[in-house]
Amino acid sequence: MNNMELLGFSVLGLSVLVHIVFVNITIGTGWISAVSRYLAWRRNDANLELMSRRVFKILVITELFSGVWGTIMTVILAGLFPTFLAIATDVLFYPILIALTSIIIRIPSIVIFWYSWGRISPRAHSSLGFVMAASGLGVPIGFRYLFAEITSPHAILLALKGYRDEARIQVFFNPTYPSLILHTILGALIVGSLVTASYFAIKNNTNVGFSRYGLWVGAILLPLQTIVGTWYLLSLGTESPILFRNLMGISGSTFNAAPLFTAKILIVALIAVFIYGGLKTAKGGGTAMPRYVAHLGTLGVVMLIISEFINDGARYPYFVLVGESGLRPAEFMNIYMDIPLPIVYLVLGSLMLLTGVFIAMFYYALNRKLLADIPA
Amino acid sequence: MTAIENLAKILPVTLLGIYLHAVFLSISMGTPIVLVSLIYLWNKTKNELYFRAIRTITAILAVNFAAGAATGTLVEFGLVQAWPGMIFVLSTVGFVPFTLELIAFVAEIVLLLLFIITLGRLRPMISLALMAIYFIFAAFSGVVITSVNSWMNVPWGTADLVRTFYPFTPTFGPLQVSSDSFMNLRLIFLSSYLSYGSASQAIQDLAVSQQIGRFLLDPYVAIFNDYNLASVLHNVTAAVIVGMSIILAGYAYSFVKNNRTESLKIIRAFLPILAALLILQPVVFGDFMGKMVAAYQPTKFAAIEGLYESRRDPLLGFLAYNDPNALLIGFNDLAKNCEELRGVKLKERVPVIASKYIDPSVYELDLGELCWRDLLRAHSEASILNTLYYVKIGSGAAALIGGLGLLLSLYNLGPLSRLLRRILGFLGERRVVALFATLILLGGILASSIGWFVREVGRKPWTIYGYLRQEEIVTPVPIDTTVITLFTTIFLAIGFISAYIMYVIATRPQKFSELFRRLTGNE
Repeated sequence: MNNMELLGFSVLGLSVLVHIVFVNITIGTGWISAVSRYLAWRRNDANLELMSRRVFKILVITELFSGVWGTIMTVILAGLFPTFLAIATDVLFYPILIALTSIIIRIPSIVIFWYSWGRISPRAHSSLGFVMAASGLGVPIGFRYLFAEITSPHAILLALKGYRDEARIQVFFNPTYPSLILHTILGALIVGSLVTASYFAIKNNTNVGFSRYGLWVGAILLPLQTIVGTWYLLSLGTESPILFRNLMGISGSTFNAAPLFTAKILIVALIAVFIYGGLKTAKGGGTAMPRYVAHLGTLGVVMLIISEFINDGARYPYFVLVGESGLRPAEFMNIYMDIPLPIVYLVLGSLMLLTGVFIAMFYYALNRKLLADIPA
Repeated sequence: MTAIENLAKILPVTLLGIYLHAVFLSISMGTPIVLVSLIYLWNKTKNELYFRAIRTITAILAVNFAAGAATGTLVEFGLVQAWPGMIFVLSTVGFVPFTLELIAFVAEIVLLLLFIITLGRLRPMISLALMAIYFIFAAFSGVVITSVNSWMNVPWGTADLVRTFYPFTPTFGPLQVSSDSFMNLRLIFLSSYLSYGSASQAIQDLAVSQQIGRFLLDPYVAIFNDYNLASVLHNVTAAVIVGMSIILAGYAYSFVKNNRTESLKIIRAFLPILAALLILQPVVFGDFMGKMVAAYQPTKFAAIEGLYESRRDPLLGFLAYNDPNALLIGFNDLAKNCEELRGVKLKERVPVIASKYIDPSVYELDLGELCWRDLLRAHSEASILNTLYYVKIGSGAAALIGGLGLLLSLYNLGPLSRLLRRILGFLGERRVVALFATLILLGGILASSIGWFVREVGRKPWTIYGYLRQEEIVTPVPIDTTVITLFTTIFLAIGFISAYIMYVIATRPQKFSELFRRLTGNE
């Protein structure tokens, strides 16, 4: 890759990683909050309602910030990879439409869920919760078709052969997609459960009962994820040999992602051990979770970052993998102008700074209880 | 399916989306000014009334911001998905404005959250500063987005290139694009459209991109467009006025319905600023905008002023060109410019290149015919634009009268206030407030929404004035009516539900069960 290619590839990768981290937190916590809100209403359980509201605070703070990184990705694609975006908006027209529909339902439903709490009936509020949670899943359901296509082009190849109309339908039959989307959804729910478990294990926020809910969800989904993850890996073996070899670090690889893949597996194992330990404490009637449970959220995020990095970055030096070869970023890059690098660095620097401010604010809002359960 | 068929389906839903986004965006631009005024008074008087209003308006701003972000996302995706030809704009003149806008958008989110979670916990003046900085970023966002729209209205940096096709257009600044690339794109799109009935798919092909080549020589051209400053001042002020008017209408309604005099106190907090903006908008910014339209958009100027024939009009001449004797160019003279090109083939004006992406028959096109046909399309919108433009002017005047009237009613401004009270005294205070608030709200919204319509439709049939036409930008993907219905429904649902929730927040207190309150420590 030349310098501009590497810059474009890295900037796009960075925005995907930041976006994926926050989006997974919001999708996972959204479901936990919606389900506990529903159960609270059905069982008339104020405790569960409190848990739902507290978990939702994580989401309400992060959602817009996670969403804006999606916008950032679009601008990067349009600015640096216009040819790719032009293809995607045509061949992947309908999957993007699904994601788009979900986004526009998702954002208002989150804010409305927060501000209508206590102002509309619990039944209406619970229903709204499920709309909010379901719309969160719609976003990856749509966008993961794009990731499936750059990993093993199915519809794009048809389009390049001139079968454009067929390609727009065939995009839904990409063989890599089923395992990828299941892997993604389970990943999001697991991250949500781990963040929930650790949020209620932090000193100022301790609640063993609430933390246990998170641990249980993680305990159920983690083994499932292991199966689905293996399925995804095997499908890469047949559909995307370069990525498979790069993950395994075997001969013929273009980028050795094996150490990272190994690190991911070790982190998953560590998470499993921490979940077990936490559940054991909860079962034994402990009044506080072990300290390590508070780190589950961080571990979940690290697992997520590594997973997404090896899924996307490990295709280096290619942008789109095509069987035993691939298309490099240069094939899609902006040649209509010289990219003004000072602006790119200014924007990147500002975004990193603002992300830092946001993370600090996130910490204070949740751990120092700046965002009250009920407004005074 | 041809692009023309898509155009008929996509255009209305795009308009709906943009208008809906504009409403939310306006509230997001207007509420910070209201909040800053209220925080200032809260700090000064320590009156709880102001703090309660600040909390309510903040919650409304949060819901509104979310709805604005959702519709904004859709509009942005709509740009690249429904109008993929726009990807070319985003990757050239739009690159710098759109990347800078990312800073503004992220900063807005961070500052709004920071404001919400620290409100009442930090000193009021710190909250005021946070909200003021939030407004600066919101306005900056408006500035950079407007700059891209301005470039589409006046493609600055293309110098005389547009005149090759449309000799009635002026020179659009110094040449800051490659003339070869400019012509290549124009001819590829024209050729593709004539051959396949759609053109935007051309830029999916890497070889086509290479054929177009390096287009933009100055990446900052959109920002330093002569037309941009007027557009920014006019658009941002319009958004702020609409946003403030909506908040004002809410409190006026509360006063009229429940006779809550506290509501008048809230209105008084920001009314002088709103009245000042209502004066500045037509007298300074609107006038500036009008002069720019007269200078750079001859077809739009002729349409909005109903200039079917060239004529002299001292008032209009003075307003448009600072010259009462100026000849106002009408469609008849614009058509003469096209006629002068009659019989001139494209190949006589543009170097012919052998390319598989340009059908050789394109070079045989009669430039006069092309010019004439597009001018006729612009002319076909003239009567509606002319009517709506003057409705817009009337609406702006109504809003101005409403603003001044309310100011004179609620403040004691000497003889003028006394005179107004004497004239309208028989109506009673509630009716007077209702009358002026309605004038401000309806006048402001009508003037802004019609103004935007005139701005957008006025540059038709081109999406980029004099360069690329709507049908060349729109997606080639066949759009089913179901998709359009779905999006229309979603847009309307978001609009209605968000408005309803904002109403609920403004009028209904939050109630939690006693047990829940006890658990949270809020007994």
